[in-house]
Amino acid sequence: VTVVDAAIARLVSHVAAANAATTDATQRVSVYDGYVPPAPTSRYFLVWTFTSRLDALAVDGEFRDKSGTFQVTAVGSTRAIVEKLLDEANVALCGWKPVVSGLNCHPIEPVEDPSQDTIARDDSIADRQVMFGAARFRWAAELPI
Amino acid sequence: MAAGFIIDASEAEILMRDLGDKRARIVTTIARVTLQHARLMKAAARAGAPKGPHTKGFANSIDTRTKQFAGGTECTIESKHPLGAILEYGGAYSRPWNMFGAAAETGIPAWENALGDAVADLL
Repeated sequence: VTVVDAAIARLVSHVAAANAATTDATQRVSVYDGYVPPAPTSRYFLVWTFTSRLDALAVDGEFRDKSGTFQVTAVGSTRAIVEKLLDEANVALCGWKPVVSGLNCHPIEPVEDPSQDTIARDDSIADRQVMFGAARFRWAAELPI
Repeated sequence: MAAGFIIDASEAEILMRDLGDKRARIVTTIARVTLQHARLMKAAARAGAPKGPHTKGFANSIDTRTKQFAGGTECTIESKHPLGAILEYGGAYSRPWNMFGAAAETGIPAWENALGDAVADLL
């Protein structure tokens, strides 16, 4: 299990309660890991993992300082839905401390990036309106001695 | 839609206000190091950009814009290419290339370290 796997599990558990509470299938939220299936739900989170890096710790110079970023793309039919989904992703992940075997994880932080505040229509989809927005998160952890 | 990021050295320069004679040299050094690292980050973003037939010219559209004002130096590494944001962040189905994110993730700590070393050499 990686930190991003743990983050995906966190998102899944976060949306599970809301999904259980609704009988309207159009309001169900899915979480996809780097791939959208052929018939996706109308609302979903799409998680993309970027390369992680291993740096030397300042205290002893040992390469035990691991960090990385990932992106959660929120998709829905309207701007308001995407904005709500992005809020939910931030609530679920910001400040949350992943528990991953073999890593001492620090709380997840949002990546501050003004460009990513845009919610836009996906122009590659012609037959219906699909809106999306992205939020990026940074994780950091130390490998055990 | 433009995509990119900003590195702003004005905070470092504010700290140098009270250094009297050394201030001018330090401000020049900060500007030099900032410009040098902005170019490195631009190169990293270009290297990470897609170069297929559908994105022809995109990598070369990534450029550096520098503002030097009394309070400091600010460099923007960005592309004003119409596909800039969709390539950086992906779409509802498509993957993000993250070329600016990756360039910032490695480039900004290196820039901050270089600023610290350069200023320390002058003090």
